[in-house]
This record gives sequence, C-alpha cells and structure tokens, in this order.
Amino acid sequence: MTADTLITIPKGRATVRDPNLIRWPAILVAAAFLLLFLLVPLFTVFYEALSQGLMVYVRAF
Amino acid sequence: MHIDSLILTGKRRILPRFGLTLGFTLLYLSLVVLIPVSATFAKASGLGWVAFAQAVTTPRVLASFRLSFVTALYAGAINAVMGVIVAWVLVRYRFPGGRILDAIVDLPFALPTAVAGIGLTALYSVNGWPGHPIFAVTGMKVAYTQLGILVALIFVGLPFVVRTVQRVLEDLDLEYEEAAASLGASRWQTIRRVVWPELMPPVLTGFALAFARAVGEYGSVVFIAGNMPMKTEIVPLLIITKLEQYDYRGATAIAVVMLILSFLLLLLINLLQRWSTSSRAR
Repeated sequence: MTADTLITIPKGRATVRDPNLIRWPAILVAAAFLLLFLLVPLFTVFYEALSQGLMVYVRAF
Repeated sequence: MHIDSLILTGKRRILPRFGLTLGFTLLYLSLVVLIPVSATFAKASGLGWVAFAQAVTTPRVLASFRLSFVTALYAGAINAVMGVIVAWVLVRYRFPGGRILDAIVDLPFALPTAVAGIGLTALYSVNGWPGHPIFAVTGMKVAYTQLGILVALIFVGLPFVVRTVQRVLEDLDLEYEEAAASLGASRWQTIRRVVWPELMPPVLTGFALAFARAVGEYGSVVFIAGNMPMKTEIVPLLIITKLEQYDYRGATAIAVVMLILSFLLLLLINLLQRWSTSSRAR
C-alpha cells in the first residue's frame, strides 16, 4: 500500500460545500434582498416615468 | 547588476524620493481634506463657546443628531449581516442569474441618490408596492417615517460591505477549509474558527464605510424622510436649512459636531479592526 492510497482526497470539494438546506435559502435571501432593496426601486423609477404613456414622457423634455 | 543597486547608485533615479512623495501626499490631502475641514472649524469658532454650545444643543438639533447616527448604525449593522450573506452567495455558489445579481450590487454607486430617493419613496409609500401590503397588514408606514430613512440608508450602504467582503472571500483559499475538515472539524467549526476570523476585518471595514456614507447621506433620504423637525429631520438636511436661512455659523457648528462624532466612531471601528487583526495573528 502506498502513502497516496492512505490519503483520502475529498471528491468535488464536498467537505467545504454547504448543504443544500443552507445553500438554497441563502441564495433566496440574497436574491430577494437585492431585488427588493436595489432592483425594484430602479424599475419603479422607470414605471413612474412611463406610467402616463410614452408620448407624455417624450413631451416632458 | 541588481535593479536595487541601479536605483540606489545610479546618477539618475527612476523612482521619486521620499520627500517628493510625502510632499505630494500632504499637498493633495490638504487640498481635498484638511483645508475644507479646517475652514469649517474656523467658521464655527467665530461663534464663541457659549453660542456654539447653544447652537448644537437645541432640542431640534439633538433630535436630528440622534436620528442620523442611530439610523446610520442600524443601517450599517443590517448591511453588515446581509452584505456577508450576499457576498458569500456570490462567491461560493453557482446558480442561474448569479452574474446579474453580482452586477446589481453596484447599482447604488451608479444611480444618482435623488433618483434612488424617488424610486424608494414611490415604492414604500402607502400606495406603492410593497408599501401598500405592509401598511394593510401591519398598519405601519414606511415612507415619511424613520423606517423609510433606514430603507434609504440600507440602499446606499450595501455595496460597501458586499464588495469589501467579496474580495477577501475570493482570495480565501479553499484549502484551509479542506485542511480543517480533514482534521475532523465540522462545517460549522470550520466557518467559526477558519473563515470568520478572516472575514471579521473586512466586515468591520464595510460596516465603517456603510456607516460613514449613511451618516452624511442627503440625496436619497430627503425624499423618503418627510423632513419633519424632531421626527424625520436628518443632520445634513438641518445644515442645508440653516444655510438657506443664511445662518452659516450655526450650520458649521452642527457640521463640526457631526465631523467630531463621525471621526470618533470611525476611530473606534478602526481600533476594533486592529484588535481583531492582532488577535487573529496571535
């Protein structure tokens, strides 16, 4: 038996991979937080700007 | 011949000497930071001690100081927690839309703060979404309250924490965690004993940056705050109000107190950072 066979190499870095029970809720929380606090306010600005129609928006300039 | 000896013994030096670099640094720092700050102190000193104390201790000023610093601290703390989660997700997990989320993080840097303020106000007013359901379910208003200010400060401060922590997480070699796991540590132990000590200094840095930005934030807050004296009036707005009333000395007196308080808090955070770095080294 060689020394190499005695060392167990973790496959696919499973030892440092978070379980799915942590992984997916974390992704959901991060995505929801970014969408709610950063992306939705930006879309709201566009929505409010164009809510009266494109012609009203253009005429505003 | 070694490059160092070329630089040191050659007649013509390639690199500028200490004197020149120090002079340039001091000049630049003076122009950008020291002179404006000194001018603020000089203007406020014209008031005299008694008038200065009276100007900064009125109930309206104290209420705005309390509001600005407390909401900035809360926003910094929320950003520190959420920033670590977002940075961890962006660095460690691969999932559809991950790169888009990564790009979204920088949005507050690119978006004018007034635009952000308009968006947040439209969104969190009682007619907006999610302002309407929040009001319908809890009876709680977000826009034109202190909660609205907190939302705006979270918006402007988040990228400071995410980007600071993200860089460190990317550089943190997985081999350390694998070594801990191979020595029998559980995942929780690895996070607590190996990853967290590395993350602590950038989290504190991110918190300090987010807090500093939040304390001085004006553009996004002024729309969502409602600006009611004693209730939702932040310090930068009070300074603007004083300036509009041509009370320049009163405005600079408030600015000086704000500068000192911010400096003391940042000093404290810096000391905490040093302590966490030195305790990690030990």
